Amino acid sequence: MRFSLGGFAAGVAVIALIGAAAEVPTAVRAAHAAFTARGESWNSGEYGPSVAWETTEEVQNAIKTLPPNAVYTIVLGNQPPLSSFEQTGILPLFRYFLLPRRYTPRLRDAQWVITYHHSSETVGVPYKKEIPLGPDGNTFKVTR
Amino acid sequence: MTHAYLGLAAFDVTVAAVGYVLLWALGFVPRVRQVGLAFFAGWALLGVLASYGLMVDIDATTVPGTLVLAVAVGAACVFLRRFFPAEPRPWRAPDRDVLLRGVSFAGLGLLVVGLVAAFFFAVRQAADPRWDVWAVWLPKAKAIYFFHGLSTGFGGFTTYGNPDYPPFIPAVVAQSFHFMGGAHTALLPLQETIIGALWAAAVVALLAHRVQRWLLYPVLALVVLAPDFWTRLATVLPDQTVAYFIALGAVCAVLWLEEQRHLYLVLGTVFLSAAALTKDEGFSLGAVLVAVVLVVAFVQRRRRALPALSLAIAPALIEPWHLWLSAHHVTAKAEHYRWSWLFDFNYLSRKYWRFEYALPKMLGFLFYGGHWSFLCPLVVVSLVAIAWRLRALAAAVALWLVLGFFGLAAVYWIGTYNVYWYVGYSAHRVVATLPLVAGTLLPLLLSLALERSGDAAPAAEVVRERDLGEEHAALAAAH
Repeated sequence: MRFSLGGFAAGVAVIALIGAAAEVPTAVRAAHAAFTARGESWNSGEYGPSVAWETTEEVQNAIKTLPPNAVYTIVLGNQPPLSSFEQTGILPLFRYFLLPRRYTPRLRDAQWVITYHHSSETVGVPYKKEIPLGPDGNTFKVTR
Repeated sequence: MTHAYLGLAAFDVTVAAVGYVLLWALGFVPRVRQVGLAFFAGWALLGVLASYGLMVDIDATTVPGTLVLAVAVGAACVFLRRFFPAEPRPWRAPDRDVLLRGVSFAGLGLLVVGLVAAFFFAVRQAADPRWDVWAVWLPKAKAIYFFHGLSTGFGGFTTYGNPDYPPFIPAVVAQSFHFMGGAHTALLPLQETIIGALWAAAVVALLAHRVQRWLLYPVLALVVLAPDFWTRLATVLPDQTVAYFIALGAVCAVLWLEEQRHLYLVLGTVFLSAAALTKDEGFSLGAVLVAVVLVVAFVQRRRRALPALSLAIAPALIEPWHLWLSAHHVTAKAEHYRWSWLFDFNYLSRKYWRFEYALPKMLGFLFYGGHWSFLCPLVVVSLVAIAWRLRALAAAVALWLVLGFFGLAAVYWIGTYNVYWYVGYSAHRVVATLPLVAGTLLPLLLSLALERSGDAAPAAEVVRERDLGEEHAALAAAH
C-alpha cells in the first residue's frame, strides 16, 4: 500500500477536530461556572490575591490608613504562630497592594510600621497611636 | 470601572493602529482580517520601544509617551515603505470539496467556541491570584506606572522577585494602566484573553494565503482548546505570551525560507525581539530558533541567505538590558543556576537524579492528554511523515524542539531549588512553548509538504487564478 501524504494530512485534520471537540464541554462548563459564579473569590476584583491569603481586611485598611507617599516596613511576628506559607507570602502581598507606598526592609528608614502577628510595643520604635488593621495586623506612624 | 474598560479598548485600538501602519509599510494591503497580526506587530514594537525607553530613563509608557512612540513608528514606516512595494496577499481560495469545506467550517466553529468560552470565563474574573503575578510581574508594572521608570529605590522595579527579568511585560502592562487611568489589575485576565484571541487571528492572517483551511482551522482549534492553552488564556503570567511571540516568529521565519519576502524577516525580528525582552525562556528559545533557521537558510540558499542574519538582532537586543543591570548593580543571572555548571561534569553527575526526576515529568506535561490533548503525538508523527518531502524544515523543527526541551530540562538538572517543588511549579508552564509553537507550525509544514508531493496546488498559483482581480482592485483604490 502506497503512503498518501494527502490522506495523512486529512487524518491529522480529523484527529485535530476530534481532539478539539472533546475539550469543548470542559471549556463551556468552566466558562458557564465562572460567568454565573457569585462567590467571593470571583467577585473580589482587585483583591483577588488577598482573598486566598485571608488578609483582605488588613490590606484594605492599610491602603486607607497609610498615605500614598508613605515609606513603610512590615514586622512579622509569631503571636499566634504564622505558617511558613504565610511567612513567605504576607510581605510581598502587602507590598503589591500598598504601591505606590514604598516599602523599605530597614526599620530606621520607615515612616510607618505594619505589624503582623506582632505586638507594636515590642517593635522598638516610638509612636503615639496604634491603628488596628484587622485581626492579624496593626499599623502606626513612627514619631522621631 | 467603565472608564477603565474604555481605556483598555483605546489602548488595544492604538496598538492595532500602530501595527496596521507597520503592515502597510511592509506592503500589506490593510484588511480587517489582519487585526490580530496588526495588534501583535504593534504590541511587540511598542513594548520593545517602551522597554528601551525605560532603560534610558524615558518613560514612554504614559499615554502621551505611547502616542509619541506611535507617531515615531509611523514616521519610520513612511521611510520603510520605500523598500516594500505593496503586494497582494489574498487568502487561499475556499476548498471546492464539500467534505473538506465541512472540516474547515467545523474547525473554525470549534475555534470560535473555544475563544468565546474563554471570553466568558475571563470577563468576571478577579485579579489573577497566582504567586508570580502579584509577587513578581504586576508589582514591577505598578512600580513603572507609579514611579515613571525603572526605579531602583524603595519599592522600585528592581526590588521584586527576579529583578534581572527584562521589562517588556511590566512596560506594556504599565502602558495599559495609563490608558485605563489606574492600576486596574482585575481587567488584565480579560485583556490576556483578548490577546490570546488576537494571537489566533494573527496566525490565521499569516498562514491563510499558504495553508488549506481544512488543515489550518482544525489544528488551530486543537491548540486553542488544549487544556494547557485554554486554561492559561486568562492568566497574567507571561509564559504563554513568550510562546505567542516565538510561534509568530517561527511562522515568519518558515515563510521567509519558502517565499524569500523580506517583510517576514522584519515581522519575525519584531516578534522574537519581544520574546527576548519578555522572559529568559523567550531569549533562549528564540536564540535557538534563530540559529536553526540560519543553518537551514545557509544550507539551502548560501549567499542569498544573508538577509536572514537580521533575525539575529532579536536575541542580541537583550544585551542593552544586561548593560542596564550591571550599571545598576543588579545580579544579571538567576541565582539558582549558572549555565557554566553544565560543563562541570562532577556537578552534573552528582545532580543527575534531578534530571531523572524532571525528564519524565516534563514528557508527561507534553504527552499526557490532560495537558495538550492529541497535539504532541500528532506533531511527532507528522514530522516523521513529512520528513521525506520537507527534509530541512522537518529536521530544523525537530532539532529546535529537542534542543528547547533539553535546554529547559537542563535548568532543572543544574538548578539548586527543590526539584520536586520546582518542576511541579514551573515545568508545565515553560515547556508549554514547545507544543504551542509546534502546533502553530504543523498546518504550515503539512501544507508545504503537500505542495511538494503534488497532492495540493502551490498556494501562489491558486490565488492568482482565483482572487487577484479583487486584490488589484483594492490596491488601485488604495493608491
